[in-house]
Amino acid sequence: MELDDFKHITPAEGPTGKALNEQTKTDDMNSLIDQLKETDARDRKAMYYLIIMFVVFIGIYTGTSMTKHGDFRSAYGVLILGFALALLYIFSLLLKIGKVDYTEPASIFLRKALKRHKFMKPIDWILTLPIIATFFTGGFLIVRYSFMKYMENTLIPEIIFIAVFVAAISVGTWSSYRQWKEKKASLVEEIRKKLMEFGQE
Amino acid sequence: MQKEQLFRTLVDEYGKKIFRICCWYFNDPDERDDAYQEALIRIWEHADTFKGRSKISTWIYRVTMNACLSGIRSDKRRRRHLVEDGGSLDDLEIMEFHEENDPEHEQKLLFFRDFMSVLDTADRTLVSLYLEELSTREMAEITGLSESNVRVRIFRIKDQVKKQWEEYSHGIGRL
Repeated sequence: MELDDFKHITPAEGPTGKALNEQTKTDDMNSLIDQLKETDARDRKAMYYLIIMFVVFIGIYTGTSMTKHGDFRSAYGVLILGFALALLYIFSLLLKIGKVDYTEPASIFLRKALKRHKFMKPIDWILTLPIIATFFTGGFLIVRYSFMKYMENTLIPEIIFIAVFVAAISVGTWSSYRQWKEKKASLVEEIRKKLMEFGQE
Repeated sequence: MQKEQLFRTLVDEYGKKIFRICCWYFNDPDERDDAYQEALIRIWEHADTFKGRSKISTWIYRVTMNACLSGIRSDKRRRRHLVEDGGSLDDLEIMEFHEENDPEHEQKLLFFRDFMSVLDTADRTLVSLYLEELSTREMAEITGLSESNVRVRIFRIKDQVKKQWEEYSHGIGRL
């Protein structure tokens, strides 16, 4: 027996497991296209809602900062900058998710999938560290200027802020790592294995 | 051409081929149907981005292959699970489709399914494409492997099929 003996053999009945006549075939296709169109529209809608939400969010903080004066206002400005950078970063992630290109050769598709699913690539650290630093600076200055009204030495609230901030970042990183490990680690391993089978890793 | 029209034309022309590839990739009918649907969804999503730089068939097969590659993980897990439970690959539901009810043909299909299920991802991809009579160049374009690598792998697989079938049919003969 040769490999060629299996050319053009369809080893199963059909996608729905039943023999379809022409009419049901057309109906199936119409309903599939309707569903696909609906999904397209839903995805677009979700993106618009997200944009509106982000703009409103920044607007509220900008409004709050307008009620403040001098250094306090600058501190709010830094915090808003942090939010704006974070939102840009989230947008870039969202755009990337929608841009999985299924038309690439399999080995390139797998290599890109591996990159996409890895936990915190160097580029993610490069992008997130300045955002974290901006949040830290903004928050730190707000704490300092808030307490300056009530006490001369603001060291204790500042230390508390630093401790809370570091704890929040650590817990955030740890929990997202755990989530990644639970959902993606085995997938990354699987992709790596496939890539090796393609002689790419 | 409108996206919808193009999609219809592509599915009319390639639907059966896409389905065949999914069949060789997945033993389980649910996984197979999922991969088929996933391929159609991806074709829909990318239909208006086709630039005509490669042949439309190559483009379609790439999308299908990548849809199968994205879904193969759960199939492997399921197969592992079946074996752990004391079952074997033969226990999987197989809906063979051919006009004549030829036991020898059925035996060959059974053998070939088992053969495919133990191939690594790259080889399984190549066999699925080879069975659709794609040229070495097209297979290389779809997989990202070099043409010489494709040729070597196909040659090796053909040899394996021959040898393993001989062993398999001897085994059946003894029963």
